[in-house]
Amino acid sequence: MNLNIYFLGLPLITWLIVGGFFIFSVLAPAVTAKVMKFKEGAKDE
Amino acid sequence: MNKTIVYLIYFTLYTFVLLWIGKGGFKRTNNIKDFYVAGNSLKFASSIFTFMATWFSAASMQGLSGSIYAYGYVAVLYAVVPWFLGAVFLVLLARKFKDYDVLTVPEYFKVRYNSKFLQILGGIIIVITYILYIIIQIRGFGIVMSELLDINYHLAIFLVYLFVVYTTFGGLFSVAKTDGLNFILIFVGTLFAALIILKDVNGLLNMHKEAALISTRPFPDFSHATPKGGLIDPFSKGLFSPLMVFTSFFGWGLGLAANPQYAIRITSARSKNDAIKMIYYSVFILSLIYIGIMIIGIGSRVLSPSISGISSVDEVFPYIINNIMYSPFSGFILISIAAAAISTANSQLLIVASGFCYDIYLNLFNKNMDNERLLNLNRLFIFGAGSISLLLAIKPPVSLLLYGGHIWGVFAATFLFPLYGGLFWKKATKQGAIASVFGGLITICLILIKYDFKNISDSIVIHPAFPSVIISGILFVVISKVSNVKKGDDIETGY
Repeated sequence: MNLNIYFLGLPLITWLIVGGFFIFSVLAPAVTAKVMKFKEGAKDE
Repeated sequence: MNKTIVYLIYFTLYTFVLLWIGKGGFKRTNNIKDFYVAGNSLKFASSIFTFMATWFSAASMQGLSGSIYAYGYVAVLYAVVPWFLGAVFLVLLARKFKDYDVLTVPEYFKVRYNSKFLQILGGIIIVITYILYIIIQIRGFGIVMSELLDINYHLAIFLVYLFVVYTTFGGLFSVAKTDGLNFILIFVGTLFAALIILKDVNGLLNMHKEAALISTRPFPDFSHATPKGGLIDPFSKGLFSPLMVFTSFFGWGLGLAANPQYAIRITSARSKNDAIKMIYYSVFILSLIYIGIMIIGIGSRVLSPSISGISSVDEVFPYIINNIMYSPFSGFILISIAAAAISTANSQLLIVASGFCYDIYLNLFNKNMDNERLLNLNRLFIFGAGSISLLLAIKPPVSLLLYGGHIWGVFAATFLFPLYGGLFWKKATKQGAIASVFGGLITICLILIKYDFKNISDSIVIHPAFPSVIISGILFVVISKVSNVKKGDDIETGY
């Protein structure tokens, strides 16, 4: 993969590492809460 | 209109509105449960506002924006990502912690491990750690007020009594009410500043193109010049080691996960469902503000690649707003920066008071103190603890973001395993919890003292919390297992 590609002036590697971790960490609490709720629901059944 | 008069109008308006809103909490506070956790009655909207306002402190507003200015996007990996990942733990915590009818985290230790000693020890750690942490808010507040009112920093920090101490006297009801106002100011002020900066740098593409060419020293006292391309590199072209960046999770991330100020927000929410939703909705809304902070940090560097009039990264944002891009709205943005410090400091002073009055004093000296006297003791201690932090802020740390991560690391090294282990591992024992607290505490204290924790440098390779948390975890598991084997009937004690 060519990591010298730029998007909006930022290198692809920065989008992947900083942007990727940022988005993952933003979504992680909501995903965890949904998974826990689903698991609890399955347990109740 | 004259700049000083415009600023004075903003300052006066904010002062009156904040104090007027804050006084409402006094009427609703009848007992210590109201004072610490608002009678476990906070509705979803109040919970989410107070959670976000407590989270978004001077470390985020000034420490992070200034660090992005100096180091570039690496600061997001160092701080924001660990904070959000720490919130994952809070979701897990909310599921179980709310089942305990406790007012403080050390009280949970007492109930779970049947140990008054652990409650007192927890109270001592809270008092010392928060007094050290509140320095960050006072430092941030002092910088903004000195820009806003054009007064000396040492004089400006004394204004903290006017805002922080008074709003905290009303307990969590007052804090939650003022947090609503403060968070709206933070949200609007940050995004407004980001939009103005984005316009001044001619958009994102141009901002990044120009940032890539910068190779100056951010300000004269800063330890190194920025390597060309460093601002847009994920690891700042070597200014921050990847190991340091990733081990910062043990300080900022796990420190947030084990932090009493968030556990108390979980307790004060009306229901478990509200508490869990409060956490992930907050993270989502906060992520928008952090995108604004990234634009402010990088954009400010493009607008002014080197600032000769400052001596720390924490001064960047207020300096830029007041000097480089002054407009009639600068006063509003400066007030929003101060709001971040105020809204966190009052919550933290409340926790300090609970640590001393509820976890230490009541246990050791006067179990049967009546409500009124206990509330007044809390207010007295808030004043005292605020004053100690204020005196310590006279000689502030060099970087709020680095310093904050190290102080938060103390909670990761001491509270993490007793708190989560107690909730999720039936075999956790009192002996394991005590060994974990002492082992983690001694390790992180030795490291922080060795590196001079107030002036710890960015050249340190591994975050001090990393070895401390590992040692704390090993001791927790090993000693719990050993003490289980010795006294099998103690396994379920207090669980």
